[in-house]
Amino acid sequence: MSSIPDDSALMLRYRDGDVAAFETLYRRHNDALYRYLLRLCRHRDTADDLFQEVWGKIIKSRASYRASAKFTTFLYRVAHNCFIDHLRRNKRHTNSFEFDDERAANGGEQPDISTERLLARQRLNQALLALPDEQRDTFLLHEEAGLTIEQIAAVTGCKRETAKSRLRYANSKLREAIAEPAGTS
Amino acid sequence: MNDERDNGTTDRQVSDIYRELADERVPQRLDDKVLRMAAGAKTPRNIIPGLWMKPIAWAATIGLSLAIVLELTQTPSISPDMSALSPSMSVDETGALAPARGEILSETAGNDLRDRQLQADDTAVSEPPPSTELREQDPARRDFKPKVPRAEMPVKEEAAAQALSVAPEPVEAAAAEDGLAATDADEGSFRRAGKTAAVSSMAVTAEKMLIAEPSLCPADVRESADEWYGCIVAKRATSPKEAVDTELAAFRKRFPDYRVPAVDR
Repeated sequence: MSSIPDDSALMLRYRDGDVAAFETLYRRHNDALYRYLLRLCRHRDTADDLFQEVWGKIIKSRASYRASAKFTTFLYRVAHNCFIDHLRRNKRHTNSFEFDDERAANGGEQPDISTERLLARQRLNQALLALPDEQRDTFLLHEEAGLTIEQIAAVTGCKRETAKSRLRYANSKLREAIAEPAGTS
Repeated sequence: MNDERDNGTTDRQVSDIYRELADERVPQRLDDKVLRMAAGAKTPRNIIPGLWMKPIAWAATIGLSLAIVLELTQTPSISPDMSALSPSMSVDETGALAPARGEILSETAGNDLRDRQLQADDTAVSEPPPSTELREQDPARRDFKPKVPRAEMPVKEEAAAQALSVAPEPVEAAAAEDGLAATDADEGSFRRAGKTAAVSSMAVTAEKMLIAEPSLCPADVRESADEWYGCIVAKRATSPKEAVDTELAAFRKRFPDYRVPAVDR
């Protein structure tokens, strides 16, 4: 485990010109960040644009990067700020969403999955996309980035108790959605 | 995963179903774009501004400080105690402070001020008094002007000549070195002589002598030998002996044939 360089070390190596270090760092976080943005903004094209924008900012900021904080916190703070900027630029965005996970609806390529589980996924996906932006953001930071309550508070710029409250509300709503009888959804 | 996962903020069932749901991967085209962007980004040369900003800032600070110190040391200044000099200062005090003034004023600035003083003296009768700045920068002039009103100049010049004639040896020696007799302390002749630094300093010396040794008796009394001698006799009780002796010497020079009482001889 000790032979695996941590994210900050990789970023510092990239700052010094090691492009391979950046690729390693990118492979560690690309999918989670993409899912975070995809479910946060609920538009695939927008998620693609924001994904590039986030990594572009990470690349540009390598010169001033300091290993004072966890890289994941730094990465998702940039992503969160990009999303907030996007919301400010496109205020109508919050009233509609285009992203709808087809696999959640039909089970994708998994024939052995039970119908009940399939429905639970579908309801969770719909409930997640229907959450308020702050609660969805908090839930995704917790699930995709693996951030603690303190780190989520730092990323979103709110108090610890606020972040904790948002996460609890989000979990509660999602749990209720999963537990709904199949006929009600 | 961490403490939060165990303290009620994480719902295991929700988390598990979300994990099954969220398995999207980044499209290959996005990966390529980002990695190309990372590889194409040039490494900046001055990566950390602080690395070169700090030495530059220190060097600039030190250089500026040195420049200010050099400027201050080369600028002529007048010590604060010079402004405390009053026209009524005694002979010894004025004489003792004179060298210090010469040290303070740089030679260039001193000569310039003396030239300006001489130019001002040429037209002093018709022009208003020199500016406060000039008087403050030239202590000799500052001392001289208030003491000698223009109306009394002829009498004072005569007193200056007398004072120079009885001046202590060092003063006469200094005058002889400059090639000028003490009796040439006529301001007009000095001004016409070319306004050189030596002449200027001699004029200042003569002025100082005039101030330094004021006569005990008024000018009108000194016109008459009897009255002057009577004044000297009267001053013996109240004035210092040296001043009375000086006054008596001036009296003897002025009236060498006057028969003084045997007591005073």
